[in-house]
Amino acid sequence: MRMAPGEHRSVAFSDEAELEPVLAPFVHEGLAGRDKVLYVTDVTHPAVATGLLRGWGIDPDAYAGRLEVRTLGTSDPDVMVAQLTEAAHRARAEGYRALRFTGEMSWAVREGTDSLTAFETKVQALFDSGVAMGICQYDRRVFPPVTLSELQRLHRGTDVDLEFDGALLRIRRSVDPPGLELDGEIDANAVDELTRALTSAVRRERGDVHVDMGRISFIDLSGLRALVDTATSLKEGRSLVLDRVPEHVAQLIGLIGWDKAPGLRVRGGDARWSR
Amino acid sequence: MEQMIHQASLYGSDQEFLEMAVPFVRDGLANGEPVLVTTTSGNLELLGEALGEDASRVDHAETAYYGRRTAQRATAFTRYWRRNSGHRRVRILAEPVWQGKSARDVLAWKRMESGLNVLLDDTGIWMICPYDTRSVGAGIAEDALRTHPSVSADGRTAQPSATYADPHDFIGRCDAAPLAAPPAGSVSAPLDEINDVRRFVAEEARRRGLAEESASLLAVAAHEAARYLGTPLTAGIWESFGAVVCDLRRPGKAISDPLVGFRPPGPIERAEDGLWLARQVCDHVDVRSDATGCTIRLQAAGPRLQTG
Repeated sequence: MRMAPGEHRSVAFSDEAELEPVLAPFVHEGLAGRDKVLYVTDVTHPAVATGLLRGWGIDPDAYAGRLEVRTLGTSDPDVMVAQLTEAAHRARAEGYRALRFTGEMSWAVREGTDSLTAFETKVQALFDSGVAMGICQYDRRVFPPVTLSELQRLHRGTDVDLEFDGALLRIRRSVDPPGLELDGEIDANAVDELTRALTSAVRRERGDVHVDMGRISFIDLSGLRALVDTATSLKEGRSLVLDRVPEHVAQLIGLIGWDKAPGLRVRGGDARWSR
Repeated sequence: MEQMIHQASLYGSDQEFLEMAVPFVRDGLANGEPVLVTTTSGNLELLGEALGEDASRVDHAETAYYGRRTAQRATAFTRYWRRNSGHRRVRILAEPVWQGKSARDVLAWKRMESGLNVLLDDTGIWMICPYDTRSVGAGIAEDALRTHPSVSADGRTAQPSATYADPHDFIGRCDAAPLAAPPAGSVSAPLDEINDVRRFVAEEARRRGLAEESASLLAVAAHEAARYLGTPLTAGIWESFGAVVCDLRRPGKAISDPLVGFRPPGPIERAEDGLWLARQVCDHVDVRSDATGCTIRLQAAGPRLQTG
């Protein structure tokens, strides 16, 4: 993952372990390059976030003055963005390329959607000026799914949700509906990655897990088996829902008899939007 | 579980058909065994009238639509057994359509009749296959005695068939003729990677006018066959009347099991599952090994197929 000044992304997580694949490279990259890093917490104590960074192999003490972890002490979008703007300009004045910002957004649950939209819009303007970039952290346990899906539209390059980027297959997390989006071709070479992404989606979500198949141009028997094995391993009451399944793939699933597999639901065409 | 029984029953009249079928079905129902009857619409009607009230307890299918191709037929039987897995014995009366079939199709169905002795060997199926001597040719009736270990005239007792042939020998004779050489208009390509195989087949199938869906299905069949064969291989594709045909040839490879891909997938993944899928998707799948390698030939319906 390479990020340049101006970029504005988000990461949705259900537990802290899910932050690592997104934030660790973000911070590492900044420190290895010419950026200053600001990690803003809200409900998490800064010492806990510092501990997380250490766990990711980043020692904040070694980067004193360049990597800072703190709270902003306010929930007013204008004040927050003013503080970030000031920090960004200071970083530039100190000779850094830009400010890398990442922040916990849980304050927005208290303040409401209007404050959140105001913050995201204003902070985008700051990023657009080229002096900063950032990743906003959204805890799925506290944000309603509707809000999360609106946020996806506010953030550019939601590719922090990219789980796997292979030559033939890309796997992305999706928030609404919760699950994965698959794009490309799935054969035995991609099955391990697919299974890994499915397993983590099943752990991440609490209800049904959706898999958008609309951009799958090829899937073989081993790929279909990975989907079915995931579905049948789900506890009762949960389903793996295959959305926008191409006609010939639906036909294959029917031939094998997996359309009746417990825990699997197969939906073709535009059924995803008629929920 | 009971042992598998596979019997032929040659009949020359409606009366003879019923003398075998009615006791076979009634005994099964009396024992609480699942009973499936798949035969012509004419025989279904006859049997339904003869069974009266009991007919409502019989699973039935018009035979032309119960497994259109041999691999689908064998799969349907296996699935019927699996669906009724709580029973020690399951009865199936199975009469294929013989009339009007091409010599190639007749051979394929005889081959399957013989193969069922192996494919269903681990089931408790008791299958009786009626042959109507008024309509089937002498060659088909004679081979029924080679493909069924015993013969029953009353649906209860049986005589061993003196001419019963070991399935591997019988199928070996069915497969003795080499595959016809690809015609002049065929296109072929040496391919190193499995993803090149599916792309080559999909593109060439589309170029020959197959609809997107049919081309995709043929590409899946070719991919699975190639996965079984291994790469590198040479792929060839051409049209013949009513069909698009695709050859995959792997030098140095041999496939010895003539029934590979006839057994439907179960919960545990097996190497032959992909070939099973290829056999479900295609109209014909021929597998031939010789001294220098192995060829899998896939045939799908051509672009001008009408479906109503």
